[in-house]
Amino acid sequence: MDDKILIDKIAQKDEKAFQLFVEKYQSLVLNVCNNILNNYDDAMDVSQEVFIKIYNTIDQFRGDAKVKTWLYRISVNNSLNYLRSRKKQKWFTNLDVLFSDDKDSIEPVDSELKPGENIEQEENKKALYYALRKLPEKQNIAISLHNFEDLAYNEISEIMNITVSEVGVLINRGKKKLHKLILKYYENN
Amino acid sequence: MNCKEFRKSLPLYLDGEINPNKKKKLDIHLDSCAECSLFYQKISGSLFQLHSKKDIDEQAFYYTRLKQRMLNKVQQESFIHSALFKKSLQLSTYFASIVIAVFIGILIGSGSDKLQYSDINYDSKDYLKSYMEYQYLNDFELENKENILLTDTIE
Ligand SMILES: [Zn+2]
Repeated sequence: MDDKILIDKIAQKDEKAFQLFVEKYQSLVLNVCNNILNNYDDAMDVSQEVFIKIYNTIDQFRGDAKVKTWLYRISVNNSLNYLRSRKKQKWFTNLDVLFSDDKDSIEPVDSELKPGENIEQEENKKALYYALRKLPEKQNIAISLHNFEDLAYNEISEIMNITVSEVGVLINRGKKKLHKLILKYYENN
Repeated sequence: MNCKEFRKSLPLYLDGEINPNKKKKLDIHLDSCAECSLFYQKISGSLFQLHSKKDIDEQAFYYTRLKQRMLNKVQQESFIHSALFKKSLQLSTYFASIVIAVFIGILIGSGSDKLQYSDINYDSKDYLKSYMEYQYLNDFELENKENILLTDTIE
């Protein structure tokens, strides 16, 4: 079924249409969230909140916009909000870390060892996710969308509501910072 | 080039923004130093992960879980609503009773004030009255006595 028809039906609270829509896009939404959050359980939670938001605000969808762009945008925003709220939580629960001298202590990054992966690869991922999380938000998003979602600069510019050249700047700066952060991770570990 | 210099130049090396001359020196050090070679391997291993797509497979029962979540949300919201309604009802009852209590307090306060004020007035009036009456009585008494005396004398 065409997306436009599906969306019209969801706007009329058609359950079947919503189910079809969710089944069609669950992979996309779940993966975007996971690529930003780097944690399966969090990604599962946030992705479901994305679909609930879509269900409740579907009448705000502009007919001329691309459904995928819209889905990416809501997924990115919800993941960012989740990260921000978690950062705030950490501030309050880890006051001792804040007041300790070791400000650059490395936060644990959750990641599971998948079958066929060795410990080295696991450590490589840990360092990468640590570095991605330490990047400024926009740089993290641009790099994640470009590298993990295989999106072109013009697609990223639509999702992030910035120009194509700004996307380029974000990715270039982000990668340089990423190199330094990974270096720092291995120097401390 | 020593290890310290190597590490210092590594970010530029990774960015691909190092001049060819320096790159050559770094490469030579990388080949000859086991420690720096291992360090570099770790970093490039992490950067390689940036290019390996990490897809989560299609999730079974995703929609079922989503529906359950939506249902829980609705129930939670209605629970919050009813809890809020109860709370606001409680609050308004408290508030109303406080207002009534204060009103009664003012009523009693101002009422007793009036009573006291009129009491004083009444008392003072009464006092004057009784004083006047007493005076009159005295006068009468005096008069009577005088009269008696007078009559007595007349008689
Ligand atoms: Zn060395």
